[in-house]
Amino acid sequence: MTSPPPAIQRLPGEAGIWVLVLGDMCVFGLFFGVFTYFQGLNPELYSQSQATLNTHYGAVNTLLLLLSSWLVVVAVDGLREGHNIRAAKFLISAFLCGAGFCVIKVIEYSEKISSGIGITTNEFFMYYYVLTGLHFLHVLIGMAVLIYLAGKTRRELSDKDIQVFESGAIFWHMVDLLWIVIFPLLYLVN
Amino acid sequence: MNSKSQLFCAWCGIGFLLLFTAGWWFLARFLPPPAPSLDAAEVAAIYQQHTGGIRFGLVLAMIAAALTAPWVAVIAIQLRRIEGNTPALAYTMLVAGAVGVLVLLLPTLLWTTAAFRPERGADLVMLLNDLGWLLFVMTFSPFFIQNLVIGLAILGDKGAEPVFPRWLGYFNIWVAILFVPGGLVTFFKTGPFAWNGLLAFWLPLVVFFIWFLIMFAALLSAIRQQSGTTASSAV
Amino acid sequence: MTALIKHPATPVWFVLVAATLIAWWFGDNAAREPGQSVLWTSIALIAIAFFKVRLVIRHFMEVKNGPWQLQLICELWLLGVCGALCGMKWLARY
Repeated sequence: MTSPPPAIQRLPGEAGIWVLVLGDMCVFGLFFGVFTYFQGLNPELYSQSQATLNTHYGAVNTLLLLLSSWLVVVAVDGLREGHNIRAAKFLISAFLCGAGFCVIKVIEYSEKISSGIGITTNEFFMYYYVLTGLHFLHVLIGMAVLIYLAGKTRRELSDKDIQVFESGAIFWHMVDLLWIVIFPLLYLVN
Repeated sequence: MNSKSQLFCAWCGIGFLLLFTAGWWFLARFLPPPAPSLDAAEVAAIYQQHTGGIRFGLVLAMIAAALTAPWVAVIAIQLRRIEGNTPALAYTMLVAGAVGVLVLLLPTLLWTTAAFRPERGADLVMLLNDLGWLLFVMTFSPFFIQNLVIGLAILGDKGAEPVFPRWLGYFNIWVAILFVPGGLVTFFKTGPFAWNGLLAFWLPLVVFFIWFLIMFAALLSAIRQQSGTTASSAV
Repeated sequence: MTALIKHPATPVWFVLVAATLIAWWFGDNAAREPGQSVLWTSIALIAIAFFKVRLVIRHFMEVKNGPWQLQLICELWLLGVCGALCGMKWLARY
């Protein structure tokens, strides 16, 4: 917090969304901690299993989610100035990035499953499937939110509506930031 | 009158917590759960050594489970106030909640069956023990739907005086997501996603408990708000 | 188009992408033999990840303009989770 205090302090989104977002972040924080703890007990197993993952899938998915987050930031900013059509385009583009993420994830899962690696293969793959699977669920929820918001741009928006957009955007950024941690943790750190 | 019966239903939720804790935890000693990695003889030994406590504790737990029926009903009533004439989410909540009552009720009878003849073959005792625990921990889907629709209904409240605060809607969605890891217990006998694991059992259990307390407080103020508005409109 | 490039989120996004590429290259090419270097690679990768997360929280979620309570909770989460992960890496180094 080195930056000077801004002129206006304003809560982004509605207060309630932070209950969900911070709550989810704490649960994932616990998941990350449990994973790292057990990784420390059996590092060979984890690094051997990790070596079979394709880091390109994880990295491209990180870039897709980062792109989608940027699109959502610009969309919400545009809405505040009344650029509803542009916002809708950006939200749908962000949705498509999410869809791309899902396609890559499904390809990755099917590669793993067809080479005989499942959730019960070993401890590492248990965490791999559970962490990425739970995150996948969040991506799907977030994509539903983005489509809902894109549809909402068709009418005149009140200040309260803008707050709904901000809340949805915050949820989508959370989906992004969770992946930012999951990617190095599962694919890179050993 | 109306608000009195609703208050009774809300208090039934607290009754469930107390009675279930007393029976299932303190008497049957099912907390922490018997590990899914135990072999048949070890499982049978638990039922043979604590037969009396398990039988009596599960009678209390069975009674407690039924107390969630009025609890579910009063939540549905309040959601109906939000939705008015087309209470699709309130009815979904009612049906999912009713299934949830069974998910709490049936395991008590499966474990009871194990404790009924603890001298029978250890494999059979283990089978009943497995059935009870899998039903109890793994069946997250009705609770997921229940909490999700409570959340969606609260967030859809367009009234000038909302029945529930909006953050409670987001909180319910968070709780719904937290129940999902329960579905993983089918795969594991040890670790955090086994039926005695940190992330599949303990975390959802603690959150379920907190959810009851928070919903209870919110229900009390919603019922108070409702009786306040009907009283003023009657005058 | 120029408005998009000048948008305050755009430079942040470039930093995020650059950090991702660095971590990707680093994770693929860094030493994997047991020893001190693996520990520091791990800690560096975790630190890069949480640096990125902090950028997303402050700039994309707009927490930097939010009330101090929210900022504090977010900083505590970052410090707590990042600290716990790095600490466990340190303790498990042998």
